[in-house]
Amino acid sequence: MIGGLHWTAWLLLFVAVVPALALVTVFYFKRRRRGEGA
Amino acid sequence: MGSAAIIAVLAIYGVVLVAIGIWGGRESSSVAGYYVAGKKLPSWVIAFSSNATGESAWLLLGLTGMGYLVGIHALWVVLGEVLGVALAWVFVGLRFKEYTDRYDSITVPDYLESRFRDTQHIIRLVSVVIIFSMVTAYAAAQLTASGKAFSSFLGTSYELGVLIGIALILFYTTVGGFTAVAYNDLLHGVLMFLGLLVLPIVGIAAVGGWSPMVSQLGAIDPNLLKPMGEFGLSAVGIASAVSFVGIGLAFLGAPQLLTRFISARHRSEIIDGSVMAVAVIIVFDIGAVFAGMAGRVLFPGLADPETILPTMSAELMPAVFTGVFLVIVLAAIMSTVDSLLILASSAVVRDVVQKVLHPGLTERQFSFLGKLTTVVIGAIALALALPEVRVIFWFVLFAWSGLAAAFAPVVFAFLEWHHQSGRDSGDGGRIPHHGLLGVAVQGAILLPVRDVARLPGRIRGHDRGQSLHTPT
Repeated sequence: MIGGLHWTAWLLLFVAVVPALALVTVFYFKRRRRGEGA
Repeated sequence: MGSAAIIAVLAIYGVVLVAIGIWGGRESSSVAGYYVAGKKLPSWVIAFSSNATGESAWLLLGLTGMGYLVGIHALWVVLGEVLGVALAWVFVGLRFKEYTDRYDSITVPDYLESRFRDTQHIIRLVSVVIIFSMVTAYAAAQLTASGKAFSSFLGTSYELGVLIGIALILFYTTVGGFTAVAYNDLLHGVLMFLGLLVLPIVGIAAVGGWSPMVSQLGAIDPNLLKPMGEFGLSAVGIASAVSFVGIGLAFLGAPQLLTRFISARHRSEIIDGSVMAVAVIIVFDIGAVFAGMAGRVLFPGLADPETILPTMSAELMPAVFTGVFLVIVLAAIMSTVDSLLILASSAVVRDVVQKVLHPGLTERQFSFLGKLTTVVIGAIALALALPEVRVIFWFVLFAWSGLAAAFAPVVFAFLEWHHQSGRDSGDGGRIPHHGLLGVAVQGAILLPVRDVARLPGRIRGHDRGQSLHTPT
């Protein structure tokens, strides 16, 4: 346990959650800007 | 037989690079053509080439070595780089493209001068000094890596590896300009993507799967499975993690990356390229760390962790794939050096000669001067690289952090500062004008000096890890 989380949870955070959040952010950015007709 | 296969792969790669260089030559007879490919690049070229440029030999040799040495603690780098690239494409790219089109800028100093209405060219000239000094050292360090890649994969002399690397780069960069650089970097980026997708899969499969790898890593050293590494959840551990994350911040404003946004065909290309850029950096970084972790189980006794990628490719794959991995390492090196050379050339020719000293020359004359300057800067980098002095690694620390610290805060902070956008009147540029120089010069000097000052301790402490701290 590190900081209250099992190490596999940290691993998931690094390789799944953060990359997924980054991808969702850019998808949202793309959709919103496309909607503005950029 | 093995060497013949590697040389054959290398020869094919060299021919492709040269062909792309010749094909790119049609754009390179004007200043904008030579330095930003006439602002005609599509999204997929920008996305792959910016990541290939941002990641050098450090990604393939350094980050795999870091995964080998510290295990999942190295994933903090992934976190920083993924966030850095995502933020750059969402918050910097589009605004930066809008401004550089509005001001008709083709270099970062061009943009800064227009943005801050610096009629005395002070910002431009200070920027040029920072770019020129950092880039030459950075390119020299990458050429050093080229020499080492050749000697470790093929057993050739170090000098031959450096010379082959610089000859190929100078040919396609001078003949094809930024068009050749960008499309060759696309090729480099695709090769790096495929290599870092395949290597961890092969490595983890060779260990016997994910679970055996994890249990064996834990048996070798339990710290390899700790997010905060050997330091644990202490001040040192947190500082180490934060500094790993900080590497990714450079993506927000390193001038060699911002040039990609300038060279986009249209704003919409940046919107389209954003998802691709983030997806590519995720595969790059996670692939490198996981490959290093698998390598630690397979080859636990390496004296130098940064040789884990050549070792894995040679031991786990047929000779032809060893050749492919040599090409992938070279791709990472070349994609960084070509962009740096053309950046430094633009700083001299566009920012000093065309905008300050001799604005009256023709486009062809500027273009020729640009090519000549590229060769001269390449020759300086070669002269610095050939002696293979260890101080080169200090240079790269200085250069990467200096470039990023000088430009990233300035560019990022003032993109959204509408008061300075040019819509206000007269004295609008004055205050940030000085603040801007202060931030840039302080960043360019203090951060690298801090890094270099810490370096001797690192080398004394664990010499094998010194270039693991050599950023991307």
